[in-house]
Amino acid sequence: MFFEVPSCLNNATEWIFYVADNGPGIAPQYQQKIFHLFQTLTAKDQAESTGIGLSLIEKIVHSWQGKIWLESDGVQGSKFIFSVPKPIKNE
Amino acid sequence: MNNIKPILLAEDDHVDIMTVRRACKQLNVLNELVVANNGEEVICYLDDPKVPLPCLIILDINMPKMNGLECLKILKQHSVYKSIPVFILSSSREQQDVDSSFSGGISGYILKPVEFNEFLHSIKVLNSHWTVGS
Repeated sequence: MFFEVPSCLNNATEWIFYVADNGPGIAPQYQQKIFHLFQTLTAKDQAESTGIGLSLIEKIVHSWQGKIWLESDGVQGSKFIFSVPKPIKNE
Repeated sequence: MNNIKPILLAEDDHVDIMTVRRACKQLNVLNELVVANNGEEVICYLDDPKVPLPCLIILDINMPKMNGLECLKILKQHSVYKSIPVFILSSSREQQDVDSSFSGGISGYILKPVEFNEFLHSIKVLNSHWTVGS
């Protein structure tokens, strides 16, 4: 498995970070669900997954008023993207 | 004995599946125990016209792909499946899980006990109340 080097897009209102892998991917019908606490996609004894990580990350990103989502065809590879809005400058 | 309806268990942890099987065996439960590994598999099983509908459904809460509460919601919205009694079998003591299970229409909430004899007792009660005559 590889991880694409995390990258950052810098636009006028927000920073957008993303990280990608070439793992099994996540089918579209599960892409919202995986951020729910304890929600996994494989059985407990098949993969060491607690379903906690992504829900924690979502909470952190939301605490920054950001958004998190992913792009994946469900066959190979997932790209996780999150945005962090820039503070509004008072002039 | 072919007219005995099966019991459908939705559970993804093999140790827990074995525990339920062991309890059913010890209590001489005659109903076949059908295992689904997640909520999606429960719906798939029920939608299969070739298999008999279960007399009761036991759902774990935390399962991959579709969890027990989500599955419960779909079951209780279905014109036929809504009349099958559903039990939650979970290790969660969270009031929120218990409340949403009952408001979702379950017939009972069984906490997964750590001790086998306690568990045996839970299944014994379940069996005597819900599988008699079905």
